[in-house]
Amino acid sequence: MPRLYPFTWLLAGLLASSAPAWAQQAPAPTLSGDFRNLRFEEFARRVEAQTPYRFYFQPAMLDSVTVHVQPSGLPLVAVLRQVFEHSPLRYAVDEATNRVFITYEYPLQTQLPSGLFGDEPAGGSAPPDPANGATAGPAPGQPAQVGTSEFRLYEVGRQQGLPATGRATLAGVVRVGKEPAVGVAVFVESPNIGTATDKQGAYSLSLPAGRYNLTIRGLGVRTTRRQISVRGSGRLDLEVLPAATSLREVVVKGDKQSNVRGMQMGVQKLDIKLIKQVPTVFGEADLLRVVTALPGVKTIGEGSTGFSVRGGGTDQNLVLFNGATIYNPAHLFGFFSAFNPDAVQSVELYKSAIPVRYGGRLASVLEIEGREGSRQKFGGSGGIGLLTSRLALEGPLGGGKGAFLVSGRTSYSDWLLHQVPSPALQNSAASFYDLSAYLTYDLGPNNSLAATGYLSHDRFRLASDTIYEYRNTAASLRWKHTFSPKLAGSLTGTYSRYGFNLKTTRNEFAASTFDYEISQASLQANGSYLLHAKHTLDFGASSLLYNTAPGNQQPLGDKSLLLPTLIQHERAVESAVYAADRFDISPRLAVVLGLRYSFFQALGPRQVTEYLPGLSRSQSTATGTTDYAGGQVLASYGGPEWRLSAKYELTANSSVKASYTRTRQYIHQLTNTTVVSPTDSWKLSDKYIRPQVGDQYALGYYHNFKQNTVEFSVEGYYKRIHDFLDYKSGAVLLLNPNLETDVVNAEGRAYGVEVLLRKNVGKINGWLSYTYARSLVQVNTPTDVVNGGSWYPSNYDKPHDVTLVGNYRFSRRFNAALNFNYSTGRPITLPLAKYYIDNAYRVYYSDRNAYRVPDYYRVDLAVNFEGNHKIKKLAHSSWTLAVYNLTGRRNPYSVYFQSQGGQIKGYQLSIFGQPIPTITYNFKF
Amino acid sequence: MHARSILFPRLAAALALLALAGCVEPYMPAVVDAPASYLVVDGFINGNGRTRVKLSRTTNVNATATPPTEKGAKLFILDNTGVRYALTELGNGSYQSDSLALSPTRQYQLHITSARNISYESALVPLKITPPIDQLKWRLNANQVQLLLSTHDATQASRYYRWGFVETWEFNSAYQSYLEYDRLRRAMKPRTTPIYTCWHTERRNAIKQLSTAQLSQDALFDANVLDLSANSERFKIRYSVLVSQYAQTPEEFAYYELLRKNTEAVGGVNDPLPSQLTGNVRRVDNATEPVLGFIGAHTVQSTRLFINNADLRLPTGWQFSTYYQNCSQGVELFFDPITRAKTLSYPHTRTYSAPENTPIDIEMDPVHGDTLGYSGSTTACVDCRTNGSNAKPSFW
Repeated sequence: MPRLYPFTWLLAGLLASSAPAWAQQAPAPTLSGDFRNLRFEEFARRVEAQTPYRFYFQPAMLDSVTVHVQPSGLPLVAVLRQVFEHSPLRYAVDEATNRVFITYEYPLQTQLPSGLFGDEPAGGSAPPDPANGATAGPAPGQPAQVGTSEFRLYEVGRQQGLPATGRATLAGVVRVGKEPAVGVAVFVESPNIGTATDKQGAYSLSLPAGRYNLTIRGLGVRTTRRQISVRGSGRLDLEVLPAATSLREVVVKGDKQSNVRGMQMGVQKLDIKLIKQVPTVFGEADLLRVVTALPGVKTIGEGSTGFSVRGGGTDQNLVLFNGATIYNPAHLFGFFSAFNPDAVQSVELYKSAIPVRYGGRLASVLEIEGREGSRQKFGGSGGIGLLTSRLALEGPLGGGKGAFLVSGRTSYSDWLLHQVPSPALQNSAASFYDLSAYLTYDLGPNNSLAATGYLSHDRFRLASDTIYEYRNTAASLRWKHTFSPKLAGSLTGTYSRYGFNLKTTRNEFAASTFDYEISQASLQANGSYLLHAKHTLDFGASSLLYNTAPGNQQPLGDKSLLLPTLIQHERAVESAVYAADRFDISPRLAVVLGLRYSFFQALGPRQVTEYLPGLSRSQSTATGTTDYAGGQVLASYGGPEWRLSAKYELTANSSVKASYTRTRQYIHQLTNTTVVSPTDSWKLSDKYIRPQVGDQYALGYYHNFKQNTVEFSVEGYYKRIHDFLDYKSGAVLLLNPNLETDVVNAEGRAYGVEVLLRKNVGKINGWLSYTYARSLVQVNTPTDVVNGGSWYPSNYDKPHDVTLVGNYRFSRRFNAALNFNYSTGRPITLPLAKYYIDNAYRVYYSDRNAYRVPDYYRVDLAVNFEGNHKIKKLAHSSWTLAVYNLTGRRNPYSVYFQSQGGQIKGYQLSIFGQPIPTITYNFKF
Repeated sequence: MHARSILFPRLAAALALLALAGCVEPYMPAVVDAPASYLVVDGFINGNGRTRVKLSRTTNVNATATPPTEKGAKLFILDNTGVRYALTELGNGSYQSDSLALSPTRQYQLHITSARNISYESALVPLKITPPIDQLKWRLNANQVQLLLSTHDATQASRYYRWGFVETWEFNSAYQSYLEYDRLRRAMKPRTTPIYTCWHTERRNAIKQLSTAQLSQDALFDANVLDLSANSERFKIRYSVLVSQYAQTPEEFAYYELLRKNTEAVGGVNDPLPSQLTGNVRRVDNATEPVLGFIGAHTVQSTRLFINNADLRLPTGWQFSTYYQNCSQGVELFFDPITRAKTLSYPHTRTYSAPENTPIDIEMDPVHGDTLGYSGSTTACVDCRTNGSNAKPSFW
């Protein structure tokens, strides 16, 4: 029997099709008989006996295949279709030679594609034929030609359209089916010119005229090539096939080579698929918790989504959902992040070299990109967990021109609280929900619209007399317009609001309500211009209007004796203009020179207290007040923010990058504790509270191994922060009309090294990171001094951190994920001794943050079972079984000291002090 | 702030319990558990009287024993011209000088040489002359008795004031006792030691201070220095408070302000960070060794105020919350009321021979006039000396 070893490596490059190919020739022999319960080899032998066909396959590949057919007079292809219906095996029948090839995943191409000879010239010399639409560039207004085949030559542009520079611009959209392929590399190898597609799948290349092999490579698409002959500028849309194994969520992944070749440094992109594999405490994919596993990101406490990036404060992170700021991205005091995993496409975190279009926060930008709905068919997905359930629905709009995705998530039970043997908590109730909607629509090849709405709401009732509520609202509308292949722009309007309120009736004479609210409306225009083959310009402007209602306490009920308190509202405008030039000095060396100039004006109406100059501000140094009228500027700040970075490629697989980033922050979170609590409020810079300014220098080395599947990077940074807010002892933050008297300006510095080894594809994927990072604070003003004015560790100073996020795919239906996390314990101020002075007992404390809580160490494990991969079934489902904190280590969430009968006793509170098993059911239809 | 003080500890507790697995374990890091023994210097240099200084040592935060006192030390006050004023040891860690009238033009410091021959000194501080209290009065305002104080310093030099309060009030125990158990004769006798009326004296340990730094005049007019509930037992009969006024340097004021904040909140989950606070005393040959306490120098001005119950004009039926609210009395019977059999107590007493019980009176049969037994209650309810002293203070 003939044997054939599969030439899959050869086939991978060919245009693949799941449809069997056979020639329409003379009547093919038919097959009849009983072929039930036969091993494939036996089946093949009997078919070979009955017909002239000869089978070519690898026996090992087919030894588990059992044939179960009973054809009568059917052609062989129909029989084989039945045999391999639910199998990854493919067959090809060459009717001309009566040969049958069985291959894995890709069918063998038995014929050369139509049009290879005859109707399509193989060379570029033949005159273009406008009739078949695959040659000359289209006239304006006509749809772009679509490149679908690897074996045809596509001609772009007219000779006379070539600019004087001798370079033509090739632009278009890469699509997988009807959906844009995002982040896919489009490049020619000689000369080495390439780009990656943007969020709309658009690409643009500047090439000298000539003939090229254009390679399209990216995760989620099958690597392919198009032969092009560039005569002048023009459009060529590229239709590519999805990678054969991809589910819809796998589609996007950053360019494989961006680790080394991209300009970015200090950037990490996470795909939702990876996020979903990481085990979490309540069994629900939690993107913020995965973000905190990245190097350079520290959690501020277990069970909290607050995080510190490279020694910055929790308020120094800009969290954007489709461009709109989310002030409190957490549910239930931080146990959940407030984003439904089904509505999210990817998460990108910028730690250094922050692009010019972002500003307003010092430490990082966390951009959460919503998932676009399917443009092909209506579908849904969801999950059922122990505490929450979620559902997302998606489908096409306007016949595939657009798509929608709406999703919701809600907690549905208070059972957890009712398990606690505490009467106070059994009367308590906690609930939350979040909703999001994302609509995308293409108005034409050059215009697209995207609209986002987001709402999250939390309510916690404590012991039937105290209610906390908080709510995030956000909306954004983005219009993208392509002016020319070289110039594209977008206009984005956003609105965000965050508010909380407390209601307490515990003491009816002091029953009260308290409200806080901040809102912002912004408009941003961005442009990108391909000035020259070596220069790409990004530029834009933005303006943002803040309004805050910092506090309104009102008595509740008739019996309440509380006097109403209203803190005056604040209003301010923050604006910026910016531009950056990416200059490719040589194929190896590139720099980005960026400048963002931001300015801030605090606006009236407001009454501002004046203080004696040169003295610590307090009630006792107040001299009077000044009234500012509505719209009058009472304080203004501003300055340049430099964003400089450089990249030098050492080899094809390694590079060094350096950057300097300056950022300014005009809004400050008021939190007196290390835990992010729902009552943390935000304060705008004003006459006394200066904006925070941060400078970061970073240097990194990047190396990719194994054909870019393994990324390695080492990044070091040094950072200085000026004028961030620290608090005087006993500061009052809520309902304080003179907040400036309770805060001091502190200086910060942070430095560290982050080492990351990351593998994105393959059976084993995930990352291993080690971070050494210090974060130090100094309070040494003429009036206020902490720790004698010397540098001391900030609350986020955890020098050593090791994280392993690993995933192993045993089979297509079964994978296991392991999480390992170690970090140094966070600093703490300890009571060291007690003593009596003035007849009262006092406590002697250590220097601030002089000691540390015990180290943090945790291992989590999760396994995912996928249902079968039959195409035709009601819903695809999967089960996730996870154990959080497998070793049951009691990691301290907080350490505190209480006075009991003259003794001070220390306690350590562990929230998840034992293994927590969870189960989640996910479905998709 | 209401929002903070009421809600947050509960929120923290809720957070703690929110996760089922949440658990609280004792946590004593080695540094906290290590024996801490720093010198504590408590007192001030008195410009117009005796200077009293108490030396003790710090203890572990989880210790239950009273802090050890520092005996056998040699102390003296030193002024910037080199004049020494010695303190003599009274025992129990207390040291006292002669009654001094120090010159306000000089600066002073305290020198300590411990029994182990280690020297400590406080920073050189100017002597602040405390102006007299012009007026001390009270006012009843919304169920609170407020103490209002007026003072002024024509030289504008005081600016930072601190007050100490020693309160005394007269009170009665729950029941007036007419009987006394004679332990020698093991029998009842008519009471000779009065235990119904006593005087309770206590020093308030809350720190109260105010500054006139922001005022154009160094004067306080009717400053509210103390708030007391009108339901307090203090006002049931007669109340008195001795207010001592101290003028301070800004440094001393700042020290006590931090001490007050550190004392009010011990670092809980949501409490603000405490600050390290030592004072102005240091070890001479090792400035890094923590020494706790602030030795200021000032004169003292005191005024006593009395408030009689009748002065307050409280409504009839006004309820005072007293120590004796839950007291009740009982009778030790001589005869079983049904069988008329003699009980084991007869003719003496078994109940009142125990020190925790005190007899009140003879219980008579209202019809026959027979002696049924002795009424009585717990000693805590009958003997006011458990809560004060039955010796009338000299100023009363």
